[in-house]
Amino acid sequence: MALRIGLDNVYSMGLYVGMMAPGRWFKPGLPLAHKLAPLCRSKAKCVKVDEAGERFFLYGRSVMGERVSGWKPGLVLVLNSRGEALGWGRGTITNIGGVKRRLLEPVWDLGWYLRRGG
Amino acid sequence: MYELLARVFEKVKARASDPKIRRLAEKYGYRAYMVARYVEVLGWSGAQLLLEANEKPLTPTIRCNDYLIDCGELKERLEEKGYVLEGLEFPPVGFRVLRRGIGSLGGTHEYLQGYYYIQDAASMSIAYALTPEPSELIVDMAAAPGGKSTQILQLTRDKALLVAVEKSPRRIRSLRSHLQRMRFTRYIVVLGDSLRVPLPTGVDRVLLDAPSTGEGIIRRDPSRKASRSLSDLSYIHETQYKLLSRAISLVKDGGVIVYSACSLAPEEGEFVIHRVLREHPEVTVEAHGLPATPGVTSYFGVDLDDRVASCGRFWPHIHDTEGFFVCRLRVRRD
Repeated sequence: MALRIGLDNVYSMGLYVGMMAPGRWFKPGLPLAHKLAPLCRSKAKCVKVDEAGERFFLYGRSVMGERVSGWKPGLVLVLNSRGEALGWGRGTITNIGGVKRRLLEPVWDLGWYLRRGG
Repeated sequence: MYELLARVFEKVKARASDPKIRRLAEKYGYRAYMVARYVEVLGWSGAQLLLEANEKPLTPTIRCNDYLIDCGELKERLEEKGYVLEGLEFPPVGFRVLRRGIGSLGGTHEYLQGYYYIQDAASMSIAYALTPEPSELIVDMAAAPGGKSTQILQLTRDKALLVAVEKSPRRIRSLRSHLQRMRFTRYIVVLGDSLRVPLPTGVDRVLLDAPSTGEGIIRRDPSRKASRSLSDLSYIHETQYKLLSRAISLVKDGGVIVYSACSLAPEEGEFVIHRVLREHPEVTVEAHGLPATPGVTSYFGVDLDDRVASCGRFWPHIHDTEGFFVCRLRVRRD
């Protein structure tokens, strides 16, 4: 058996971990979210959204803090109430009508498969 | 043009000028040559049943991804959303969607989680004929949008290594997206023409779901009733033969090839296999194990290699699926 494939022709392979812009940022991928979801109980930084929050999130919209259990600032792995990964979000504080509110903004959600996946 | 096809096409043209054939073709909006061929294979009553069945839209079917979820649980979750599902007799992971629920079938949260793939029952049967095993190296030569590629990895519990080849830069996006959505990792997606792109040799199995006229998907795309000519059929046959010859060059001694095409045309099925059997003595036909009807061995006065009877075809009026041809081949070089 000879596994010879021209690298120029390889479009994608293996677990998609994420997207790296050298020296700038790393955007974690959706398959990585599924891989890390089992670690939410111990090591990974995760939040859970309720059913309505899940719908908002998968539409690529922000979720208000009261729909997020265990809200944390910064990059987080987002789960639904069943503990299934929904993607990556970012916990932020926003000012709405002079009141500071906790928000979960989508970074990369599973709805991407419908909107952009092809 | 392949000499045997040239002979057949003369007879097809003569038969297509029969006023009775022309009237039937006009009634259903087909080119007369297509109906002449259906009558040749199925007889008058069979051809009429086929034409009538092609008027009925397909009931949507889904393939549960039992690598990720228990299929009973998936059924329950979708039924909570108002869907009504009925299990298919074959394959065991298939469901007929009798009633749609909330949201589109391709937009449920379960779909986004990778728990199912929307796929015709005949199409989701093909990977079973390949009998892929964990740890094998497998090539899918025309892989987009990814129904069969994802199923090969599903059947091997993501333990085979799949090289999925697609030449369309537009369609390859869907292939990658479905592989990732359904959470498979043991794949290499290759952008290129399977006839020319460097590919591994000595592989265990090859699936060639060949590009076709699409005569088998008229229930989904009625434009196929009139969009192809006999010269298109000849061109596609040639491409299919070349692709299958390339597939033969890739497999190891004892390796398996499954050739399929979403077409009812013997020119894209049995004639391709007949030609391969004549020109590649190292190739034999094996039982495919699917609930399909046997391949055609006699067509417009041409007797094909008897072994093509072991190939199979899914018919819209018999199996209530898309039309699909399938054949399992084994290559023995000694």
